[in-house]
Amino acid sequence: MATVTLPQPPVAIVDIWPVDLASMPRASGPEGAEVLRMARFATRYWFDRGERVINGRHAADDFSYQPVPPKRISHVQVRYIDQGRGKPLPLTWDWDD
Amino acid sequence: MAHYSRAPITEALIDLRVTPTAEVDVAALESIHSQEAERYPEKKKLFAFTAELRTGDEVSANATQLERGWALISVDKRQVFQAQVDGFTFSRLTPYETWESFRQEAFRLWQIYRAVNPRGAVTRIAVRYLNRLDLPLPLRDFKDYLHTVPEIGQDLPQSLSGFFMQLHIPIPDVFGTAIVTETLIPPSSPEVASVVLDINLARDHELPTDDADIWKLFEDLHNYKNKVFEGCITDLTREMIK
Repeated sequence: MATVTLPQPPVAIVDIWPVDLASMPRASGPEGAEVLRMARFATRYWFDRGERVINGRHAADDFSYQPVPPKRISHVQVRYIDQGRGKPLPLTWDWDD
Repeated sequence: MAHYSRAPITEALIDLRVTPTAEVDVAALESIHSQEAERYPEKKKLFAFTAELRTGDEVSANATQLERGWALISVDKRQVFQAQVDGFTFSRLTPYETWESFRQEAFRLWQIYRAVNPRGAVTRIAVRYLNRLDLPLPLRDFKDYLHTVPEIGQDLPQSLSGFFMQLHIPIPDVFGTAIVTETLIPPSSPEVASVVLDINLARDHELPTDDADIWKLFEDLHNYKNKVFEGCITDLTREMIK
């Protein structure tokens, strides 16, 4: 049964990445290229699904966007003038064009 | 490790990372090729590419490409030697022969690299072995061939059309970490399912300063890599590759 253990000696875990690519020596053969392709796919799959928002708390600190909450209820004043029954507007027939 | 006549190793790597120094650049490393041009006639320049996207009041993007060194390729294209400003990697592609011959050639090339880069301190050493297992179809259960595989809950369908799994396992015995990566790859024939079992065993602390002592540690890493491999496969796989 697998469990979780800290690396020895303890190291600061800055961020959680789904796949470690950087710490492995670069392979030269086709199987190594295939592992790299699948690792990139797994990484992209992870980030495409918003996990970065959950795990990238450091990135979130740098995010300067200040959202403005929408105003749910607003009042608009209007004025109506009753001018009585109107006449139909003239319709011109010009189908030659 | 038992000797397997059909060992599934498709690539073996020995890797040493060193601290970059001001006097070693790509031009200095190119001189290695002139020494090894007979055995390693083909050379390719290696680059490191980085991209950065900054957000904030203003959005900016920055991309850089740095020259890192050279890859030298042997006449038969079975051996690749990467000499970089921050490290050395030697690869042996299939057919893999023996650890002794592999290590011996890596050490010979390391000495040539060291003559050009004598001052860079070794910060990490690693061995990496990529194994390709062609499992015959129909496959009843991956566990028939591999002890280390993704576990699917029993209430779910048990068939897999693809997976990528990476495990980081601290190995206190060698002061290192094993990174075990397993993935399904396109099969070599319609009759098999091909799985890559990639074992990377690295040590980046408690490293001696003397090169000779560092190279002795590769024996430990290699032996433990064999233990990891044996721990990942079943008797059925042993039978298949013996």
